[in-house]
Amino acid sequence: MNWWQDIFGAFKANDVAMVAYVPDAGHSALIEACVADNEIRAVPLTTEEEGVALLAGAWLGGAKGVLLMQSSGVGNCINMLSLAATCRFPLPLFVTMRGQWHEFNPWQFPMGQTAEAQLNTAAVETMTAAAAEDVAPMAAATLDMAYSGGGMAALLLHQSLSPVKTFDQGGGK
Amino acid sequence: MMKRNECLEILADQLSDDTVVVAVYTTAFDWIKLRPSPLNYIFTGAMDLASSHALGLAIGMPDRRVVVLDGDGSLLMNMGSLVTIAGQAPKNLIHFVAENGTYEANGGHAIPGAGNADFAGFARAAGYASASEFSELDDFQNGLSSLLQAEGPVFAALKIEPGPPPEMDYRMMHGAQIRDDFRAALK
Repeated sequence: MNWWQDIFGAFKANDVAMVAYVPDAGHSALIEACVADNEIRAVPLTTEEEGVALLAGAWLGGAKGVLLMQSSGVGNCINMLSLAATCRFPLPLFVTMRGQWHEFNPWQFPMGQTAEAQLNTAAVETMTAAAAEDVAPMAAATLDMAYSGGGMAALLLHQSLSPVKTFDQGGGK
Repeated sequence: MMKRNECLEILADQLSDDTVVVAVYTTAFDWIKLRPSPLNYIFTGAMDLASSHALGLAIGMPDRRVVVLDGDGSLLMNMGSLVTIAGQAPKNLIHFVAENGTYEANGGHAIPGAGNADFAGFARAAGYASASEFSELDDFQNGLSSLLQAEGPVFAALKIEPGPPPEMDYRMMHGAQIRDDFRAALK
């Protein structure tokens, strides 16, 4: 089983009803599975910070949500995280990391290097899945910390989990 | 429907040599091959800010034409820049958006509102001096020269399908030498 299927399984086990995202190639298969699932509302965003507010509203309405992004998207969320922090909205983030492993795009290095520290500074608990077998227990733990603990938690998916992108293969952002 | 590289070839033919071109991501790789120039501004970094970079350049260099080659996903992340640009009303700014309905570089997923959102309408409503859209290559070829001479800020949405994937060599996209060449070319 691929690690993204472990994340999808954790979503289903937790009755996740909304998955909001700005896409990353590393999240592609997971996004497609969420779009295809009749019980999940998949919401593409124009910027990641929209998702923080969207999930707050969804939770108030009784729906559990998660927010998917790549590490550069963390930077777009920082101010909006104060909403979840102040009002104690559960907020699970699943972040595909860039700038860590065979990275070819220099613009991905700064947020790759600082995303975790910035999340921690913003009161988001973080854990990093560096191997495929880490993903299932950490996905479950992340969702539990958000929905049972009522906090903000992020699972950082190390770039080595994703296929290596090079400019010879067409690359991508 | 047009292909991006076909649109860019027409643009490269008609653009004057002293025009500054701000190009984002996939478009940038296509563009720098078609029109190698130190006046290609390819330091856009985060995906949403090309239009803001271009506004700064247009205000700073009122005697030069500044063309921004934006993407639809990129502009969606910074829609407020349409209002900021219209408010500053730079006469020398031309804002193209390559509209393919996807976050092409990030896995090809659809952008929000793909196919429904009217980008030229957004720009028009924001207060751009003119806004148009093109979906046929002949129309673009025939209409481009008047666009390039019109008083800005000018907006044009280019309805495109993805062309062949460009070679994405980021060594062509950063580095102190490229930055210094750009500065020198402006003097």
